[in-house]
This record gives sequence, structure tokens and C-alpha cells, in this order.
Amino acid sequence: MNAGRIVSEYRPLVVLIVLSALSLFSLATGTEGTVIHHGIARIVKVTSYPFLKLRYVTVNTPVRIYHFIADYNAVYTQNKELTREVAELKKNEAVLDNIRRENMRLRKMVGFAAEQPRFTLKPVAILESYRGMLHIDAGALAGIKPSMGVITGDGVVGVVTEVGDFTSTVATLHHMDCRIGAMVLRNRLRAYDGVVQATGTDFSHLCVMEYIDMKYEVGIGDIIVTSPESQFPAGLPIGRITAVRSGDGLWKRAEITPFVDPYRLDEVMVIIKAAEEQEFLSGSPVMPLRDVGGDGIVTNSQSTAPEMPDIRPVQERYAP
Amino acid sequence: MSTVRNDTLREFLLWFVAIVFAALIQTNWPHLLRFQEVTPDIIMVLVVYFAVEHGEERAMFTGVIGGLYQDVTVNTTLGHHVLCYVLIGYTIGSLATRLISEHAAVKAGLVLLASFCQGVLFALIQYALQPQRGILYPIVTNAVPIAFYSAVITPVIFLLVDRIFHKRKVISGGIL
Repeated sequence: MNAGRIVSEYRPLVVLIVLSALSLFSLATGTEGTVIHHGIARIVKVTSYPFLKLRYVTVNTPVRIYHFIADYNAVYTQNKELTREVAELKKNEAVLDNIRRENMRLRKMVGFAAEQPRFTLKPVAILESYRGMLHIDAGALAGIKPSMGVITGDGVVGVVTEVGDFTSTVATLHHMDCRIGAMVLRNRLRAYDGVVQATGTDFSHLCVMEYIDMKYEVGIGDIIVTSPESQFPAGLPIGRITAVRSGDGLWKRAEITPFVDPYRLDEVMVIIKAAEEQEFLSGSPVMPLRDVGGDGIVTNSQSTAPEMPDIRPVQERYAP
Repeated sequence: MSTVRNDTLREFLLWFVAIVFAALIQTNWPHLLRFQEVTPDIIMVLVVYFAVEHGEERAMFTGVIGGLYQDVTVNTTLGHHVLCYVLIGYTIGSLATRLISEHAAVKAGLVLLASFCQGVLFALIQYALQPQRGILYPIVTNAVPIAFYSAVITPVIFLLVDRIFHKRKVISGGIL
């Protein structure tokens, strides 16, 4: 009797022995971390996935349908409430966004004011902007005077042209009434008339620097700043040259895009007072001595350097 | 001849799907048939069914597939459930040749006995692997209730499986 015949005759017993031996081997060696275990586990998980998915669908779908039917009114009411809540939240979000932007603008202005100690600036809200003119919420009672400069942290806005008791009018760089002394920052070049002004059309937001001598070099991208001859302190940015056009005569013409768009402003700063450069460099005048704490000790936080000698002639010093 | 082969293959696939389905119910949806924290051993019922109807070899392979699914799901060492089912399947398959009664109560009793033996065997292997867990407590709390519950649902499962397999035989004219 050969082995094949024995196996076929006692096949169940052979199968039992093989399976039992494999099981005992697995139990004895502990195959939890082996490739075989992982492979079998993977097969089991893959084959069970459709069943689990089917179970999930068959269990949850009727429940969902039941809830959809049974709780229809509740869902409808909840939907309405949520819609109203979403609208309310959107409104609040818009308000918060506006406040956040305003906060950023004010921070920028405060930062600019802190960086420019030589200026006495007055922050003012814009009431109205129309065709290059701004109506600002400050007038003569607030110390505003005609020809005062108006700026933001980004640069020059315009010039105060009319002053009422409570409001003032500002001509921006988009308006023909605004003419500001300017120069090219790179080479301090001025035009023949020395000013930058609006193009004169309502459809263009550019301003121009006319009468530039043909022999002077001016290029696209040059930055234009206020000149010392203007009503502004020197060096405030106005705009950037975007085109240079040569005429038939002796002059060139530069078109300038201002840094500040007046139609997108909510607040501006009026330059109430700009310290002279020398005054700024030497500091503020010496403050008088004052009594601190009432104990008779006078202090002075200013310089304690000795006074300069009086160099006036004797006749002038003792003249009546 | 090819018809017979196709039918055999189809029956084999049906058998395989039935085992997998039962194993998945057993392992992934135990609360479906849970009663007083006791879950019936459907795999054991199927092992007994195939042992009675098809012999010990089919019963052993039923135990292999069902046992592997349980081992993986319960995260026991591979072979723990398999060994129990294989031994029980072979024993019941051998005994079934002498079983002359087709009465449902006899089959339920067979399932009760098989399930209890499987529980005891399982507890013994577990005790051999982890002696600190004891042997009496698992038998009393698990093996006995599961055996009873499995025996209770045996007629229903036998009826269902019999309908699936036996009906096909009748339709096919007893070729298989």
C-alpha cells in the first residue's frame, strides 16, 4: 500500500493531524507579530469590510429615514433657526472685520505718528469723498488752517483748501486744486515749476510732473517726494513715476501714480505743525525749573550743560 | 460532467460565503443575537451542521475559516479557536455517521455537547497559555451559557442552512 492510497483512505484523519499540528505550532510559537498573522489579519479585514459597510448602511439608513420623517418639523425649525443664526453671525463677522480693518489702520497711523516726532499730527475722520475732494471731520475750531498738509502712513494725500468751523475740505492729488512742491528722490530733480499736480481729468488717477528739462534723467519707477520748498516737510512720499513722455519742445513730462488712493481712506492726518529741521535736531526748548513733591528740591530733566558765553558787544549788552 | 463541476464549485462558494458571513456576524455584530450578555456560537452550530451533513472534513475546514476569523478579531494567538473547532468538527463528524435520528432535539443536543466541549477545550488551551486566568471561571461563565444558547438557536440555523443547501440538491435532481 503506497502513501497516496493511505492518505486518500484516511484523508479526514490526515487533515485533522495537519490542521492540529499547524494550530499547535502556531500556539506554541506565538505568531501574533509574524507575517502570516498580519497576512491573515489583512485578509480577514478586507473580506469583512464590505460586510461592515453593508451593515452600516442597512442599520443607519432606516434610522436616518425614520428620523427624517419623524423629526421633520424639528429639523425644519432647526434649519430656520440655523439660517437666522448664520445671517446674524455673518453680520457680526462683517462688523468685526470692519473693526479689525479700522484697528489696523489706526495702529498704522499711531505707528506713523510715533515715528515722526517732528510732526504735530491730528487724526481726522473722512466724512465724504467726491471727485478728488475730501470733507474731513475737523475745522477751524480744531486748529485746522488752509494750506495745511494732509497725509497718511503711506504718503501725501493732499492740501486743505477750505476750512469751516467744524469741517474742512481737502484737495487730493486727484484734484486740480492740489499742487505740491516735489522732487525726484533719487537725484533731487525738480521740474521747472517745481510741482506735482493732477492731470485734470476725472477719469485718471494719475498726477503729473510737467516741465522737466530734456537733458535731465528721469526714469520709470523713480519715487517722487515732497521738496523742501513745499508746504509739507521734505521727503514725504508722493508717488512713483509710471511713464515719461517727451514732447516736441524742451520739456519732458512724467506721469506719477500716487501712493495714496483717497477713495479708499477712512481717516487721514493733518499736519498741524512741522518742526523746522534745526529745531528737530536740537530738541525742544529747555523747560523751566519746577518744584517736585513740594520739598523745595527743584529738578530739571533737561540738559545741565553750562550756558554759552554771551558774545554780544558790550555796548549792546548794556544799552538802555 | 462540467455541470457537476460547476455545481460543485458553486456549492463550494456558497459554503465559503456562508461560513464567512456567519463568522462576520459572530465577530462584528455580536450584539445582534446577544441575550443577557451571552452570544451564541454560530460557527460551532455550522461546524456541527456540516459534520452531520457533509462529514468531518468539511466540518474541519468550516472550523478553520471560522476559527481564523475569530482569532484575528479577538486577537488571540492564531490557532486557538481553529484547534478547538477542528477537533470538535472531526469528532462530531465521526460520531454523525452513527447518528440515526433526524430529530431537531438530537441535533440541538449535539450542538450543546459540542459547544460545551469546545468551551472546555478553549479554556484548557487558554489555561495552558495563561495559567493566571484560571480554568473553572471561564467554563462556568462562558462555556455553559454559550452552549445552551447555541443549542437553543440550533433548529433555526439548521433550518436556514438546510434550506440553502438541501433545496439546491432537490432542485438539481440529487446529482450532488
